[in-house]
Amino acid sequence: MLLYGAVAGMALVLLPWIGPVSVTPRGVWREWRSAPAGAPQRDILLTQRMPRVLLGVCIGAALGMAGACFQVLLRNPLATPYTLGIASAGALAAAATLAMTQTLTLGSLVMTPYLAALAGSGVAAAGMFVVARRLHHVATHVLLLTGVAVNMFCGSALLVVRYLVDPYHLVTVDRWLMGGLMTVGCADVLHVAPFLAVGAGIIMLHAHSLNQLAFGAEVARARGVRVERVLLWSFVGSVLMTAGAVAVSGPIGFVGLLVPHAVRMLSGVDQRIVLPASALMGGVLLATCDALARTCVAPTEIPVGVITACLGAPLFVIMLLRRNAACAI
Amino acid sequence: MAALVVQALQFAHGRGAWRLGPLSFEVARGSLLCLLGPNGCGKSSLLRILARQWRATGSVRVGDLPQHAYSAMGWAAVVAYLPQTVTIDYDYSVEETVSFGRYAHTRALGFLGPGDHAAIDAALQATATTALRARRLSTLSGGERQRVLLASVLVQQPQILLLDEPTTALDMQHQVALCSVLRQCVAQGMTVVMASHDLALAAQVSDTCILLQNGRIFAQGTPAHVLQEGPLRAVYGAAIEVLRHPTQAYPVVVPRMPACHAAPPVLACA
Repeated sequence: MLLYGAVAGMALVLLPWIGPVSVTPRGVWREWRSAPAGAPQRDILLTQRMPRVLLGVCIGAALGMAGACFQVLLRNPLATPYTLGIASAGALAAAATLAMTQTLTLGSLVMTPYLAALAGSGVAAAGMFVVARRLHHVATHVLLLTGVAVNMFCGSALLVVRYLVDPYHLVTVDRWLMGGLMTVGCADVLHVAPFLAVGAGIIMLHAHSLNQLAFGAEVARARGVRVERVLLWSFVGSVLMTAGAVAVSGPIGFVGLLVPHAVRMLSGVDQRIVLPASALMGGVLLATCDALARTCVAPTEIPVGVITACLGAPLFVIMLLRRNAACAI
Repeated sequence: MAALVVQALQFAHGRGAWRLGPLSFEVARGSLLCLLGPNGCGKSSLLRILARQWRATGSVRVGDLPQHAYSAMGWAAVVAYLPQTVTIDYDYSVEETVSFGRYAHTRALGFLGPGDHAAIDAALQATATTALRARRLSTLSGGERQRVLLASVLVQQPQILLLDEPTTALDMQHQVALCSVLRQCVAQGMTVVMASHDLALAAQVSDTCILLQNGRIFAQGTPAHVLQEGPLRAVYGAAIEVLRHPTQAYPVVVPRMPACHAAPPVLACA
């Protein structure tokens, strides 16, 4: 864990210096000491780069930990924060809001894409859990199948939104759906941080019980785990983190799938290590991918979701091949 | 004194015709009960109900309390249960797997104390898996894996141990070792209820047997009383011979095969 923490700390320190405009420690120090009216390097570092790296770390941490938790909860190594359609529902609600007017006013409530995404994810998660509970005391396979159905429905509804929207708004919707961390100031960090803190806290409290769930509900129950309660709270924690992340950055793929598998290869399968390590490594991966996204074709910027997908897919295949080779030995 | 008292227990799967019970029996403290019977007679269902995995009507009392009066942790500290098949999602080490059995005794996040380490060492030693403690589950044979799972329930240090066909994957040497571990546990006051298809093993290891047929008790009592040709033929529907062991007191149950060696070969070699 110390090593993971050190890597995350290094990422936080080093990544703000990477970008299309040269910002150096010496330049920032000089501007800080002389305090001129215009201090471009200092302003870029403090108002753009650092919040952006911090946002990347928070979003990546939320996706990494939620992915690791969903893989245990659903007993499925292919599960991601997006498998259950929570993110799709959030994306659908946000896209619908963006497609209409950028902001939708419902009485006195101004519905921004952020709030819409949170509301969409929340409604989908609650509905899914009610259905799963009604059918079979919150059996994981029912949760998974319900989630897949929600995912497919939201995917289709999103196509309808994209088909109906005018071309000007379609570009905005598509850019949001590609996922990105473009931010100025700390507002977005403050939007996602509470979800990350509460969700991570809930999940870590149940980390040891999640170890027991890996042996099946029967064995876990026989060892003293209150299985339904652990499933409910871990689900709530994962949903909070996923919804918070998607509402701020849009859907960013592969972090929630790739990172937990990489951590298990490096540090074993104890969830008390895997869950926090997935959060730290998810943060590092996303912040690094974002640094790549803003520099590789500078001054143009690539949406970070495209980078994570392009890097994540081959990396995932390489990891699988390496693991199989290790098993063969 | 009875460790487990079952009264008028009944269970049905949905609206299906198959029913378990009504069953009434007692298991004495510090004894080993074998549940016997053909496939589908209700052995595993009964164990699941006793282990509080399924709810049934009637009453199950453990010690002085009804089964559902215990908290989840309190129950796990009193009763341990090992199902017939355990699917494990991740490749834990043997030591991790056994240590997870201490869940009911540890605090938040499951950090282990000196007492927990001693219990883990004792469980590994009892199941002859100390040498495997650093190995991953994926590298074990079926029999080794079964012994590790047995260690993970022994480490719970329960008063009652419920085992569903624990000897299925074991070779003869480890069947004998397992039986001697169970007899040691019984000698120390633990109560063991075990479902088994192995009538010869049941005859040697158990203090009492219950023979089930279609969800009801067909016969119960000591092995010598239950393992007789009449009841066994009626329940299993096969020709079974019960012999007396030449030097020991227990019966030896032998299936009587059709005279296949004497019959002419069905297929002739080219």
